[in-house]
Amino acid sequence: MKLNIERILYLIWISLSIFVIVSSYKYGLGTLNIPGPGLTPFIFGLFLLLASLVLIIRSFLDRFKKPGNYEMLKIFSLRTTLVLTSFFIYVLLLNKFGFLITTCFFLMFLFRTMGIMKWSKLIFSSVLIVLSAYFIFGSLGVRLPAGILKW
Amino acid sequence: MDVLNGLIAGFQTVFQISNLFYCFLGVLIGTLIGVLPGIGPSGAMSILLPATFGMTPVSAIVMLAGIYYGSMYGGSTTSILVNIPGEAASVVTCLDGYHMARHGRAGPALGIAAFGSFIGGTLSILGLMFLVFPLAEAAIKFAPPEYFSLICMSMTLLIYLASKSVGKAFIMMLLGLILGTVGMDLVSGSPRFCFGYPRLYDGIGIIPMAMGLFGISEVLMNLDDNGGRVIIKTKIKNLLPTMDDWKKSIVPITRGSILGFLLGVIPGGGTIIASFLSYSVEKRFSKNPSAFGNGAIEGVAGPETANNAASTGAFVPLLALGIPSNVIMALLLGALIIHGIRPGPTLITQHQDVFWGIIASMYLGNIMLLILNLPLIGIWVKILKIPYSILMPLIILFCIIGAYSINNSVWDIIVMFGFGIIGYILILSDYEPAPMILAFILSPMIEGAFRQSLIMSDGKFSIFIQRPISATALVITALLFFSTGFSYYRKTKIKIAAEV
Repeated sequence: MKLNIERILYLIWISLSIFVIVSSYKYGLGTLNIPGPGLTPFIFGLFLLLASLVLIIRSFLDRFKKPGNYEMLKIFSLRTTLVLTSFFIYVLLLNKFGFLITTCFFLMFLFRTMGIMKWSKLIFSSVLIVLSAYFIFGSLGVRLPAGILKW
Repeated sequence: MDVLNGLIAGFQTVFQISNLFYCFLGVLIGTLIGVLPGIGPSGAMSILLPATFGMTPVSAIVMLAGIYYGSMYGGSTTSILVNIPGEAASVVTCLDGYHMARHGRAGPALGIAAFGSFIGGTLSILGLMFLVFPLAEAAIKFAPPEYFSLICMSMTLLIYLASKSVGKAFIMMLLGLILGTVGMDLVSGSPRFCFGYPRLYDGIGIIPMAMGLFGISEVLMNLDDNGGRVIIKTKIKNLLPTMDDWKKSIVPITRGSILGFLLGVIPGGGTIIASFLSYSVEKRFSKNPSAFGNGAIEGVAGPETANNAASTGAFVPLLALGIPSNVIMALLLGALIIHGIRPGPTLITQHQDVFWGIIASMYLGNIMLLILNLPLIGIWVKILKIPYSILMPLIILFCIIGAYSINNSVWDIIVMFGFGIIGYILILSDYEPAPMILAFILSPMIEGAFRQSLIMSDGKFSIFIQRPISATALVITALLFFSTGFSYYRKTKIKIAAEV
């Protein structure tokens, strides 16, 4: 089954707008002369709901334009998936292992993903770049996480 | 304070060593960003925003502004030499600039682009100086209803001029407005959409959001682009245009300056529209329109002048009214607020050093850019050869450090990462992130103005119509909405008739 990402997004906007409308109502709309915290997000949510409904109806009625036929799986190419996955793992490990170790491996993986194959080049460039960044930004007052290298 | 005294004071501020350095750094980075594909001025500015925390407000804005108009200069280099625009506003320069390079006239093309940008930028600064004062004086009389209506009109103009779907741009704007309400409500003090998570009480950070939407998503978009860049192998000589080149270019440069400045002032106008419109105008008024697309120097002079003039013109509504006319100005607004300065009609009186410092830095920045872009063209050509496989990891690294440095927290990296993926999916689905970030920054302003207006009027919406400026802005907003709907209805009717 082909997943039409465009219509999926419309459904997401509709769901989000309903959520915003309901939550805003709970925060309190107040009165017109003393507006509550929920009034403005309520109005924004309402407009979002209307706009999303108009667009989704239009996408069904519009026989002249083929709706975006993006297959969900094809949106993320292999390279994109690898980069995103590595980013996700990097964020999970950053605080534990520290900037130097985690970023070194992360950069090596990114360079490799982008086609740089020679290991010596990978390791040397990554270590050099990470060390330089660590000391340059450290001298500018940025405290990057030390992780297991805390001393 | 009269203009001349203000300008002298501005130059005194800018000629301090630190400000000179940051002005140079800004235009250098801007040119680099313009030359290199893979990241635009919005991405670069959002990455460098945290670096400005330790600077004075003048230095911060001087550097960030330098990145913006510097990228306009740099974008023309790749357009002319590689036929790949380094920046969206330089797309149109490819049409004739690259042809000129192929015929051995890369030098004059680069030269006229640089000189045109310089003249457009300088004339635009003059316009800025003289337009800001009357606008700011008028704006002092503005009350919340005027601000509400003007912001509505600005946002509507922005989505009306969206390059892709207006409906999708409208949805992006609404999402930005909703995201801007996340956090503690300033009036009642109650949390909204925080889900009990204390990190959200201060709202979503503009910097990681912008980095994600413009930096990370652009990187993801370019990941699979293995297109080799073929740089024209020609001696770049004779950078000074000939007398004949000047004769052909002087009118396009003049027209481009005026057109660019006016389009820069209008919300949603901006550099891209200015460059395209200038090209169309020059082709329309040319004695030899068939030469366009085949190496007409007017096709380089006009658009390059217009895009730089527009980049300066965009400062007018920001400095005079505190309303950004495009996403770059929205980021600058964010930067000014971070530094404790609220741009608007009182900026000129309460922060004269900032106002005149910015103006003076633009003059200086344009001179620096002329020097950077002509004699140093060889260096930019070498930089063009850096493969994206090396650039991409470096851009991600800078984004990570930039995001982390905001609060020394991994949370900001997660936010940046999340918005990077969101931005990537949105761009692939033909949504533009720019209206979202603009609306996000304007959300507190528009909400504040709306609520104050209702309190002032005791709950009556008629306050927005009773005041002439507010009413005019709302009428324009309504007309734009109806014109979009009517235009769609007409196109559908024509298509149905054609099918039948």
